[in-house]
Amino acid sequence: MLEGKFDEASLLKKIIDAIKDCVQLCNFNCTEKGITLQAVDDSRVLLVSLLIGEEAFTDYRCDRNITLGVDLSSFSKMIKCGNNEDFLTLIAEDSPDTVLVVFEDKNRERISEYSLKLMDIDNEFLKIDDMDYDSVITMPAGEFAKIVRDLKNLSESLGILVTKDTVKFLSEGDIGSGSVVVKPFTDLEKPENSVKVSLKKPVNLTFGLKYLSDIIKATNLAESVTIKIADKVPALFEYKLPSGYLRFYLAPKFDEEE
Amino acid sequence: MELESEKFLSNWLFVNKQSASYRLLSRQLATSVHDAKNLLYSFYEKNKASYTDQLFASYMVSGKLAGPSSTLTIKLYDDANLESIKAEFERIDSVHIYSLAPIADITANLLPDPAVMNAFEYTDEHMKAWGLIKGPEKKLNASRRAPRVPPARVPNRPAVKASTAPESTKVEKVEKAEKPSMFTLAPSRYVSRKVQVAPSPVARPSARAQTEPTRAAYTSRKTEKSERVVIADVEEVEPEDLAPAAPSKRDEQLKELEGMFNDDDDCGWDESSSQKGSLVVIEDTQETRGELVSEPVGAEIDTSLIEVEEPEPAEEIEPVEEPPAVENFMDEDGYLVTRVNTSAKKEKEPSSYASRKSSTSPTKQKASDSSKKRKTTQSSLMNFFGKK
Repeated sequence: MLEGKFDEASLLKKIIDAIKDCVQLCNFNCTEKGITLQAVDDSRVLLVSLLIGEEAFTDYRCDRNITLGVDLSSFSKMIKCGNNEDFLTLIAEDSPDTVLVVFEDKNRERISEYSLKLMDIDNEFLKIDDMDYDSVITMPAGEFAKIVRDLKNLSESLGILVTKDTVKFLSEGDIGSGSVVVKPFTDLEKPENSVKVSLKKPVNLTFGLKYLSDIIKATNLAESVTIKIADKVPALFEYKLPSGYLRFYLAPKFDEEE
Repeated sequence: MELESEKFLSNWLFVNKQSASYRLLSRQLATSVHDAKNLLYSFYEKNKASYTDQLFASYMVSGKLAGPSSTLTIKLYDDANLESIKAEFERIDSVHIYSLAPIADITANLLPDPAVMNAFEYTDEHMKAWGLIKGPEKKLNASRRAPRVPPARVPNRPAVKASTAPESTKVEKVEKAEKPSMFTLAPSRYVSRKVQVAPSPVARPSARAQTEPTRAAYTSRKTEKSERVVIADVEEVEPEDLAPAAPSKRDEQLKELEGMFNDDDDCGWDESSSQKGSLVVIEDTQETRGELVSEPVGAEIDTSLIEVEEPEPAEEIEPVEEPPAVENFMDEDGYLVTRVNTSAKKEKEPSSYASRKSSTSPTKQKASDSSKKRKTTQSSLMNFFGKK
């Protein structure tokens, strides 16, 4: 039996909105620690890893591990039926055919229930090792989103060049080229606006902007994004949740000769 | 022939009191319109003195009127007006006799009763005899193998006459012969006008009517240009060429054309003849003969039948500048097309195109180089993460 109650429906809304464009079908794995999700997009370039810790819920109870196979586009439609401020409760049996989504209006006596049919989804679960990254950048999520949106107009690829105390985002296309340089910056009043760059080793990687533009859909989830990159391994883009995280692992592009 | 002509004319004019055009005479005697003009004129010259009150001739003058914008103009006039009419023209292309009539008013009796003209059957033989252009079949054959040299036509002509001669027996109304006396005026000029290229109209006084001249002129014109040449219908006039050939649009055009020739005089003059005055003016903006270079030429039919200097549509497609290689073929319209040195031109074109392309290519090349340099392949997560 799963019963998880969010204080606000908006959190789940944002999470689903952030990932529904890169993965369509995925399994929510419900454990007593919380709900996790791992899904890979069809091209197997972008991996989504989600953890919603039990602290993210006002009430959370999961007796056994339950897997909810969900079509995210359908789930998204259902979740949008509730107001952002509503309580949102997910309810599922131990071996569920459906998951029940209940919205409770905080101000009125109104309860909406939606039942979503579940699917059997054959999901490859990838083993992700903890890695040491050469460079870790923490920057405002909105700023990163803007860089991606701007440079996407020029090219399909975004180069991320991290040198000493400097991050350079670079895009070269048919119409020209563009770059954005971000340097460490500390905002004492608004720490979320600070930019931190930790560098063990200079890194120069290229990523597909198509995938990056999927990633930035999670911008609403967190004030800042943490980008961890190392040479020749997938980059990690992490948005911290109140409890848990939403991580994207993006495989880099390599020069053809290599 | 002369005898028959005179018998017929005297009977027709003085007994029946009807007017006789050269076309009527041509039909009656089964001879070409050109010969008919000569006969008509000679009859008039012989008899005008003795029948001053009963015999009046009308003439047709074609040319360009004085004035900047005038086009090809054809006027009818009678003897009395000859000089004044001529003065109106800036350039006169042809003057020939049109008809004889028993009364002086040329507008009243210019044409014989249409029923009379319609009584003649337009069979192939008759049309050959009259010098009318026969339909398309012949044209196709002729145009394919048509020699462009005018001389070829000359031998043909006698043959036609010979074939037509026997038919002259058809003339039923024959009366007493008038005094024979031969005289030739400028009647054939009308024909010569169509043949632009023909060296000089005067040289062929006996040349047949309108249809003939085109062929020779047409050929020479094209050869002069040494360009791609389209020969159309040049051979139509020749009777031998009238053998059946592939039917086509040209066929219809030719029929139309024939119709125009028939109607041309009859209808045109009829309408215009409504004027009581002694002058009948017909302005034809579409027809332009070879000599009238500056005049607008429009009618399709004219271009096919008559030698006109304006290039035909097919010609406009590809002007070829260099003379050497010559290639003949039929285009889709049935024109015989002579293409000169097209290969050279074609080769030239691609090269220029290539060079132009190459001129732009550097920048592109540069861009592609840089992009190539930057070209990357997307790796897959599966290269990094193993399955659990």
